[in-house]
Amino acid sequence: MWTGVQWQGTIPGGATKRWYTWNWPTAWHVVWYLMPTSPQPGNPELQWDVAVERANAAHCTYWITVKNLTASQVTFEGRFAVL
Amino acid sequence: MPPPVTPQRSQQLFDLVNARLCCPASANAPCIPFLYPDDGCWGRAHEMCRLMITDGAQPEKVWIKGALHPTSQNQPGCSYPGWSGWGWHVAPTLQVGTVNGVETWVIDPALFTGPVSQATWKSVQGDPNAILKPTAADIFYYKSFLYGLPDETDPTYTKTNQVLTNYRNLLKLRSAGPDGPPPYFACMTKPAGVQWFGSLGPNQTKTWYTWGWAASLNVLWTIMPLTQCPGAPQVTWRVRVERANASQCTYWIMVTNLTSDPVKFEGRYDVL
Repeated sequence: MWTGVQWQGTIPGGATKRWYTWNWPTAWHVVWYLMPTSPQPGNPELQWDVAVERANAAHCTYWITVKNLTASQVTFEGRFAVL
Repeated sequence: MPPPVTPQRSQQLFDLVNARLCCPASANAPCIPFLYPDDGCWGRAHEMCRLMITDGAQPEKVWIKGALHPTSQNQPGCSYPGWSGWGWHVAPTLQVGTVNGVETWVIDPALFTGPVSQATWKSVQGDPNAILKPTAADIFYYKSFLYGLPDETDPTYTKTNQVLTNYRNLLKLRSAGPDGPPPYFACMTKPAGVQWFGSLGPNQTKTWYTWGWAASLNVLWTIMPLTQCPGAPQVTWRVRVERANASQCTYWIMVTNLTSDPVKFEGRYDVL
């Protein structure tokens, strides 16, 4: 397994936003997760959903929908792991 | 002979034409029906040449004649004799500068996921005695080679569009039939890490479960669409787990089709 940070995101308080990242080999088993980089102790800050598009025989696009569960802006890393 | 391009440029041109692939169930113009491999190659080839020429490239074509028996996951019969194959085939070519000198590479998304050499292109068509002949890109239908009749051109792309329309419709009809859209599970073997192949109707949500997993294992589940359809997300999923007994659990995976087209997918697992 190897991991990485695909993007650095910012999301306003209470907002839901979607990011996409394309040209990932379909043969890879990839999981997506987030890590806040703006500490707000006491409550969860983010939740996310992943959707996939098969762009062609060999590549796919991941669509990651992020929801800010707080009233304040949150910055975060969009992380992946190739299993 | 046109000047050679780099391998990177040939891949870029492959991606350019492959980005036009038809979503099988909707197949809206001006998409190219690469997922209907049965027939229509001359229309696809002419449209691919048009796109590449518009992008500044100088493609040519290669024609092959023989008892051609290719294999495709996108034809319900899979391969010969389930699928009778072709008497001939055509695809665009590029001259590509390689470490071995200038080579002719073929751009054929109906058969490959990237540019390939002519020898590779010929080899998957199942007839070592097949005959290859090159032409310029403007030959729409190389009838003198195929049937001993006068060749056809199509400078206005009228005939090309007729061919593409016809095979888009056949792709849509097949996708609406009992076998659904390509690919076809009977043509596929499950790779390692794939627990099941699934199908979903338009906008359908369905739950699958899989039991007998050791509770001590750390298992992650992901879904990968098999039906190709560029432009928008197709599927999303949620995982739930049931502790069945002291040592085993059952995973319940709920998959949602986000599109108005049917989608086939594979359910994947990884033990961390």
